[in-house]
Amino acid sequence: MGLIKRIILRIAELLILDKLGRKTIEFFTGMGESFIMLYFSFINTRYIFKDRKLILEQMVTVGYNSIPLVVVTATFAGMVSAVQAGYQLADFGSPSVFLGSTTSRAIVIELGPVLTALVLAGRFGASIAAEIGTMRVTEQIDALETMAINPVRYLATPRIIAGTVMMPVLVIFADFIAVGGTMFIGYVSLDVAPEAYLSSAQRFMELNDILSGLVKATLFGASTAVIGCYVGFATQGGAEGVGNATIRAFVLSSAAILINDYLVASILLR
Amino acid sequence: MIRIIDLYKYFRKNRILAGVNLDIEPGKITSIVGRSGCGKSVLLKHIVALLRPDRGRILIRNEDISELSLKELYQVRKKMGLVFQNGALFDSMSVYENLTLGLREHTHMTEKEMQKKASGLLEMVGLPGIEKYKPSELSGGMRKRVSLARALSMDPQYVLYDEPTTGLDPIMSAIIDDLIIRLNNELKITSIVVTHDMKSVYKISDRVAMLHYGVVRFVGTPEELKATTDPVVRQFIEGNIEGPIRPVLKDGL
Repeated sequence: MGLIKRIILRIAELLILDKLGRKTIEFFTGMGESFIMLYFSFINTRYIFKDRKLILEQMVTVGYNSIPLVVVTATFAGMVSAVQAGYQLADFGSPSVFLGSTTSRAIVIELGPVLTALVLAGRFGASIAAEIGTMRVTEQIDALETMAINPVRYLATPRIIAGTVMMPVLVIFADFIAVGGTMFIGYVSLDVAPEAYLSSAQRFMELNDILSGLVKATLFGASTAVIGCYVGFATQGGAEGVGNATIRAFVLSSAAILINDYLVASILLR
Repeated sequence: MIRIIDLYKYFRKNRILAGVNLDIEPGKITSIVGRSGCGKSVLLKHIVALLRPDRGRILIRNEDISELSLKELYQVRKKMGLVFQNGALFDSMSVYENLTLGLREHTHMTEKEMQKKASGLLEMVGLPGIEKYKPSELSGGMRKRVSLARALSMDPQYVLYDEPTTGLDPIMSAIIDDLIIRLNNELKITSIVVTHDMKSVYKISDRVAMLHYGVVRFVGTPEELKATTDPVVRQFIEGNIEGPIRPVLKDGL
């Protein structure tokens, strides 16, 4: 009985390891192939003038259409960071001295870029994968190929350019909204006047903080779009395949955002 | 002339094409028939180089398309039009945008010239005035005809049809058949039709090739097809359950 139990446990262990190994290989293969996609998209940037209409369309989709989501996310992120800061600063006396500096720096360096990017990974990263994935399984990408139109140039490059350009714009926008939310809660709940908040923020904010936030946002935008495109192109099967691609795009781009976040922070914030 | 020489294709361990040899004569309608899953569509995708052969060659005007660079391949593809089984229309675009995408990409036509061309193409396939419709607003037959119009937009020398009448009612099938014959006669294009609709095969074909177990089992005129004594071909064209062809194909060959 003990032997059978040991054999079953061993098989289960191997199966788990096998699955884990496959998933790990799949993850790194996906990351590597995304870089290949980025390379080919970069080559196709020479058609940027010819494809300006496609790029503008994608900028509207990624940027303008994401504004409501960014507003909601940034407002509440700002408000909650004020509540959190107020709670923690209560031990140090008046929050008016530090509320501006702590929350605005946290927003500009971390909260703004990362939260905006994670939310947009679910919105435009997944939607790129679903759109291109549907085109793949309904042979629309094959149709482009037979019409002698390079699908990477036509579909991926405009989306990657739009993601790379619009993400920093959205992050700047989110930063302002979040700071506004923080100031509002600071004024309403913590008796911190907006002037005190702003003067505290200005005193401690450094150019490097803003720069690191924007560098992150650019990388997040590029990686989300590249992964969305790569996963879309690699879609197989029917509706189920498109569903899986959507989830995969979100998971991979979220992971890429967190990895990039760490890398940029460790390089720029020394 | 399109020449397919000793073509092999595997999907994982499944051998789909096992040495296909076939010549497609210029200006003629060649139908490729065979059971579902026998590799007809795979063969068609090799001709437009959407798939690369594991072995063998495809010569278009004596040029091996599997050896061409992407740029050279695109030049060859500009001379080809493929009508997909389900239309493969770009669903985010209107019918007009679908028809003019190739022109916009590869020519310097003005908007007015493109409008004239699109309306002429739609007239040709019997669907005038539907430029503003989205593919989702069209029936299956209309989508196939728009797909055909799109395939013709670049004035191709070769048009390939992937099961053009599948899923259509008999009247719509007859309309599509007439359209294929008319286009072939009027535009002198070389047509390759992948189908298993035998009624359509007899009506439209100049030559018929039957694929069976990854190889070409029969090539000839429709009359020769009707008169063949090959039991495999006879079973297929007569649609008999009894015969040398097993009713259920196992995975691969």
